Amino acid sequence: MKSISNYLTDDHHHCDVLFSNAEEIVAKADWTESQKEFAGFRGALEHHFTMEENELFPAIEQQTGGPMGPTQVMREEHTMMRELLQDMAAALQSEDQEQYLDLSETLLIMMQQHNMKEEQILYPMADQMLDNEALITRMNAMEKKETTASPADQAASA
Amino acid sequence: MNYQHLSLHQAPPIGVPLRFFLTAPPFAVLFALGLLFNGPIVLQDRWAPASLGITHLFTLGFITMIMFGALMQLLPVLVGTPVARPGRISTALHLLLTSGTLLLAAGLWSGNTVVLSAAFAVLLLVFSVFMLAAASSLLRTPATHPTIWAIRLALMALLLAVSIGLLLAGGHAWDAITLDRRLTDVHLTWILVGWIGFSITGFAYHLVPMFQMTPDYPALMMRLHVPLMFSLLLLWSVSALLSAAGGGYWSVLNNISATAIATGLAFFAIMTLRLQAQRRRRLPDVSLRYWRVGMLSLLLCVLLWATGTLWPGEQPSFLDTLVVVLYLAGFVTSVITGMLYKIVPFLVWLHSQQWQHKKGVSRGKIPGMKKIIPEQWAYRQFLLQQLALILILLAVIWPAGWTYAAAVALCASWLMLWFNLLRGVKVYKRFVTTADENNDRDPQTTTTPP
Repeated sequence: MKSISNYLTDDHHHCDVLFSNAEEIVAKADWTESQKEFAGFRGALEHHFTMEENELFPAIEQQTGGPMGPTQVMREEHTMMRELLQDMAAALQSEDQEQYLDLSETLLIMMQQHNMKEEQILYPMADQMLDNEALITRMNAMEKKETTASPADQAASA
Repeated sequence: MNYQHLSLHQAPPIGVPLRFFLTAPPFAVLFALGLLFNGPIVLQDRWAPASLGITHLFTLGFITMIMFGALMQLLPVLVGTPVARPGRISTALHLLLTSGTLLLAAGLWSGNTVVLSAAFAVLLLVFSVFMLAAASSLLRTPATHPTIWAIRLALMALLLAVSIGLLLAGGHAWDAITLDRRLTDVHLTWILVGWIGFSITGFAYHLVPMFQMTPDYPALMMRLHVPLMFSLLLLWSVSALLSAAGGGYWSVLNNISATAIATGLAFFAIMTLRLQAQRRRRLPDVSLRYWRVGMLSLLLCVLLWATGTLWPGEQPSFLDTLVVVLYLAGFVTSVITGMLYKIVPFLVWLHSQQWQHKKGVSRGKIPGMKKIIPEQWAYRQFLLQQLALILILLAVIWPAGWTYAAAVALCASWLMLWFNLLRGVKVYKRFVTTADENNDRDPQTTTTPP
């Protein structure tokens, strides 16, 4: 049985692969393919955020007694990354390669330092105080329920 | 385990790391000016008062200054237990390190014992404060990443190097303490390989995979490399001091441990280059170029050292200096400059963004990292620095012909680095001021005048 750490860290790596694929295609200025790759990446990252916000963070908060502290900071950083994703989608729409690459560089560092804190501090903490198996089952179930497009995608295309 | 004191915040405030990062280039410029002013003697005679003074402007004022800033910034992110009162501590550290470095350089240069004693006192204080602040953070952390061990051992190395350095400073200041020049080599090695080398290794474990999306360093390497290097340094130091007393076995042991240390450094460089070759992110960037130059310099440095040591006989007199200059100007300077070109724009972006969120100001256009310090400017500085590096290496071999050109190029390159960093910080200032004005005009946050 996987631990929460393993499960979510693997998901980080999955998002990393999709991120760099999208960036590489944008660097080649293949706009049709870029849209597809970026949507895949954004969907995966949004799914990751939702798993944490709907399952992991509430479970941790229940143990520590409130949404303050580490989970609150992680939520704020999710918001910042969502804003970057939104700007990146806009850059793709207007086929502005320079703008996209500028934002993706920023998102990369933001994402990596965020992941580092989760993987070093938050996940090990979750491994220790939560029922790993139950939480992973619930996160797996979320994946099945989700439709292909995330709410953020729909909002952006609206 | 108690998680209540954990903080995952981006703290400290932006001023904490930036004051160190922005003070470092002027010190490097001072070093270059010192080189220009004193000329070839600096590269010909490491014991000349001017050489000793100028070297410390660079190692303390530039390298250690940036290391302090990087550690104050990265510790909270890496370990989750920030340094207490980061604002006050960094103000104290920054002022003390700046004045201590200037005093030490002046004291060594002039030989004035009063100035040296003052430097002695100030530096003792700054390293004590730094050590205590870092220890308080590193001892409480529940995180177990190998970086943390690398940094702990870097601090131990610093403690040893500073203790020896203070003894040496005492030797300069007071005749009662006899100066042992073998101790200078031990001091130098603990600074170069220990404090600087271990810190860079520790940062690399985190930053190399993070910046370029490379695979991680092998787990076994991350666990063993720095602790092994630390033990080897201990062995090397003891055997260096004892072999001088006439022990044949000690000098064999000394050679073996030195070779093992050099091999360890080369191994780190090769591993880093290998990981970077496997990077998932294929886009070229200035930071990556700097890291590659750094690692190639380290390899060349080890190779030169080995050539000089393992094939004894007639050695060119400049070889030792060349090894040290290649290590400092080629390896260390490249790596920390590459690091600055990522960390500074990111901090500017992050703090502008957080400021906006906190103030609830409607979202303005915060430029991304590649616009905060424009990439073409960073690249120009990179090219200039490579020219300066080649010139300074030539100057070590032919001091009379090349020293002045090298000094001018170094001066220009570091001024440009400073200018680039200031450009980035100006974006932060401009953005926050603009947002401030917007905020004042926002009817929800200001009361309408009657």
